[in-house]
Amino acid sequence: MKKKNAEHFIDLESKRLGVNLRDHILELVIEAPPTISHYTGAFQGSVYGYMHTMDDHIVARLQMGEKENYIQGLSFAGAHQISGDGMGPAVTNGRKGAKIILDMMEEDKKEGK
Amino acid sequence: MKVKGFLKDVGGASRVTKRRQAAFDNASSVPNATDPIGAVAKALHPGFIDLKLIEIKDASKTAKTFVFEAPHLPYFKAGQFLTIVLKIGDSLVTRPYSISSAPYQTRGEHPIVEITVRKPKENGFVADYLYDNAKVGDTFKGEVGLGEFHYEPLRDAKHVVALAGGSGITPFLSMAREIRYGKLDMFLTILFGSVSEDDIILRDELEACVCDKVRVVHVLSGDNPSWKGEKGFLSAELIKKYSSEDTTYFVCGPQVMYDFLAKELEKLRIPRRRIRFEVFGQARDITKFEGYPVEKKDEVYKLTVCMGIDEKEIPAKANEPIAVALERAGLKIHTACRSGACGFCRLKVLSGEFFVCPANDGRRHADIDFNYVHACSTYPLSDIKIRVNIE
Repeated sequence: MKKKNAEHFIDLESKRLGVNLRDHILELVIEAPPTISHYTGAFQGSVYGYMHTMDDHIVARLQMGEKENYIQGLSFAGAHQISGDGMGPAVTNGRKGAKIILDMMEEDKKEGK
Repeated sequence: MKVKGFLKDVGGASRVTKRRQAAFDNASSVPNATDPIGAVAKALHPGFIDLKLIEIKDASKTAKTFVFEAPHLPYFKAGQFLTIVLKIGDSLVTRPYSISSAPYQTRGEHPIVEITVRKPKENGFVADYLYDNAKVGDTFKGEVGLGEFHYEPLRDAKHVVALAGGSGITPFLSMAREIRYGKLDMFLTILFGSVSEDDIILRDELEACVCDKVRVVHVLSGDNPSWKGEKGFLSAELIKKYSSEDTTYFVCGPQVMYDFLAKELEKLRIPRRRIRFEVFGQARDITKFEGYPVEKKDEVYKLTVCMGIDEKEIPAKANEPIAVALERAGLKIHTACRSGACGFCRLKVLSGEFFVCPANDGRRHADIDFNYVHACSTYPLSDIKIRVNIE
């Protein structure tokens, strides 16, 4: 199935560009959710997290962020965190996760822990 | 979603948090681990499995075919290889071998997978062990279906000319069998170089695959007075004789053959995208490569291996890859191609000097910038500290 999809997209893009892309392919790797799952272990082969819903999106998560800190000192990174899915949010989630931990360490240091 | 106005929308956020909290309160405490995609990935790529040796048969006077079975053999693409793990003395080693059986043979009543191993002319650590010691009933750990040396219809020409030497015939036998069985739609011409007629590996098996889509041409380079077929080496002239207007060339064999064929294919002005070389494994003699400091070849350095929070010091010879040093010490890292290509043995060098075999340098630009190397193609040139995942 993934080969058929790849073929379809290559031909579609070739038509749009007016160039036969097949004449210029040097290397080809076709990726599908099982590929992502195989190499990263991501749940259900998701590339950058799961899609927001109306009841579970960044605004709601931000508002409830403090309450959802169930284990002190444990912070999460990745595309399933506060900012949600996508490449940009995956990066900012990691930055946020690191900042939470660093802020905690700073506080502990001030308190002499 | 309907926009009701700014204040109503801001106020609406609290309705969402209430619904979200309600969802938490009503949720089951049992984790939902249903992952059908992961199950498919696991079925296609189960990692290391137990391979039971069920038959050993002669492939020529200097080669043997080892036939394995397993409860759930994963599918693979014709041309790919498997890696096999062996404990030889105190060393845990892995080696890649091209699969000579066809993918369709992993299905049916008696699923099997085969490799064909040639008795090395010089000392071959693993090949010698397999050849002389493996017996029916032995079980090995193996990972089946690795590598990029396979036909890809979206990339390759319909006609493939396979240039093979010695045991390099094995991936092409897999392709020929799959084509003969009707599961691979391509035209395959195999130009198979051997020295003498009586040492052609897998000759009968190849002949059994000949059909309208598979052609086998033996080319003998030795002194064979009674031989009526093609003679000499796989020269540009010979390759051109059996090529079509649009042909992809797959090359598999010993390193010396690669050096020769690179020049011959250049004479034919074949586009780079139409040539594919199979990786050929660890360099036999690193001192022959340009840039290697020969004066250091007999040195033995201290290799500090950082594994999580543990550290261990082991000896590492300057003329052996880091992967070998780790294996000698019984530290098993995940290796596959042993050619610096696949990246499974990627590790970080924290300090120390090293040399990367230029013929097996599969590092990305980012790897070079941040001191990541492939253990199978990297040689220590001083005391060296590395960080690695040990299995």
